[in-house]
Amino acid sequence: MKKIWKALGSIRLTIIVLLLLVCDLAGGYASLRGSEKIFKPLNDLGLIEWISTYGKTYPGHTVWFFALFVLLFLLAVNTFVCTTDRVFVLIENRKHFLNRLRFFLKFSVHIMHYALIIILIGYLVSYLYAVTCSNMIIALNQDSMIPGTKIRVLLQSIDIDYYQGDRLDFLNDRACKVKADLLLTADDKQTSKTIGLNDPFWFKDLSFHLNDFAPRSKSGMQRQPYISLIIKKDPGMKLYFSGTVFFLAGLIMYLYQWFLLQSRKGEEI
Amino acid sequence: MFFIRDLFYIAAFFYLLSLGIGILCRGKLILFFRCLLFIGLFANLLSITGRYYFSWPLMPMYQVPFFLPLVIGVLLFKTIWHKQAGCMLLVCALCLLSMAAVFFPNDFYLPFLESRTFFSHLFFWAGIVGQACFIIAGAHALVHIRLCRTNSGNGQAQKLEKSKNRVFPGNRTRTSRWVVWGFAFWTISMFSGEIWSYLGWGSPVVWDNAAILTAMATWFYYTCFLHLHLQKMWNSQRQAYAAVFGAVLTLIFNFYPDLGKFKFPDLNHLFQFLRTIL
Repeated sequence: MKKIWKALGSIRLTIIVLLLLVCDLAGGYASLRGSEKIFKPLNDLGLIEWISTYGKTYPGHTVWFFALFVLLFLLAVNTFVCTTDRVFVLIENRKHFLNRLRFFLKFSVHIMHYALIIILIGYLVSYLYAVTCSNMIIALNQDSMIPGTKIRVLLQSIDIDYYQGDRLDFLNDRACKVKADLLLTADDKQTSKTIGLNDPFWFKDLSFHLNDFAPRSKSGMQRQPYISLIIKKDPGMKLYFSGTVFFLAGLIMYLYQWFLLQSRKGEEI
Repeated sequence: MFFIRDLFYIAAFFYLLSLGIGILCRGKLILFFRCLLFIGLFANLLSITGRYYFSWPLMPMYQVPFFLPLVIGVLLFKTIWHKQAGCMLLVCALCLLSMAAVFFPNDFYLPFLESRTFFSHLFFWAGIVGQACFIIAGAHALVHIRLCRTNSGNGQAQKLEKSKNRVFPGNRTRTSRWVVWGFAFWTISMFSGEIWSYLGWGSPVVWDNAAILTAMATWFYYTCFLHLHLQKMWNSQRQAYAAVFGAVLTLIFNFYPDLGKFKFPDLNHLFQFLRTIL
């Protein structure tokens, strides 16, 4: 058991897995270019359904993705074992550190490692359990039921700013900013929310993202005002964003430690 | 837009001129070399300011090749200004990158509305600085390799031993320092891309653009580099080769996809402008 644990936490395994990941992703790039349509539904369908449909139908294009999956799993296991070993050693040797700050900063790399695992778990949870309604179109003053829920949504108003000016020539008379007011009804309670591009909102475990809207242009054929929403229930979201925050915290700690050591001792780390 | 392009042509021309002066005069006319390079950087700055001005608040799409030479020039201003080791190599890199942008422009794409967020700009800039750091690390590593080869080739084993503590660790440390900074910026770029993607499309990974995979590959490569470096698993020579390979990989994975098809630069507007002045 000890041997397996040691082998799984080996730094050589880390190097091999990382280099294989580089090769796999390079192959993936060559495969994905021009065949994005195969991978686009992955976000909407979820991993299991995507594998049983697109994944199986286009094995030549998707084999790198399965390899990526295996390699990321190996990397996560290796990172966990290796980091846990080192954290224990560090805690055991805490008496050797005269400076508390230095001892604390020594955890920076381990924080980044654990954060990476959290991010990967978050992605996995997201791709396994997320439920997506990828294109829910709501016309102005139209009341619609969100599929799979008891929430009703009404588009109350849509406010589009059209660009007028000389600087952005390509955007003249075209939409440059959009805000839509929605009225959500759940359990006989009504809540007003505003949505915009890159400005989603959250309501009862669901996130609402503005996918498209009309009319996009002031001139030309006038279309009926509508918005298209991406509605998502993503249980992995909190995990991968907390992992991101931890990783950044670890990175800042590492850079601080790096500066501290370099400026005080001229040590190379 | 054409004026912006012309400014970049001027920048590329002055980069080339400064390289020529730097190589031909070898230490002489250093002030002239500095002036030419400074004019090149200034023209490049004006050019990218224009590009940003004509797309703000949206993100300028596929324009990394126009921004990268300036960022490298600014980050290495001190090295280039004082003509420190590797200076000409870096000027040569500036010229090659700017020539690639001149002859393979890909700036025809219009910015899209979804890029109107702080995170898209952070993604863009942190990515450029990250790329610049990796390329600079590669250049320093190349200098390290060259110095090692020159000294060992001359049979100056003793000199090599003496200078080891002076020159080589300096270049090696510089290499690792730039890689650490590059890794930090690259990570910030990837995370801001993740946030932008979530805000805009509800998912941290958008599979519409294959470039996401090369960005990830670059990140994993430098993760591997840093593990080998921090674990002290290799000697300085191997580390230097890995840094050079990393720089090449960065160019192939991240710079090359942003280039367009070959196109002769349209200099008519520039000539007309010059004729008007003269």
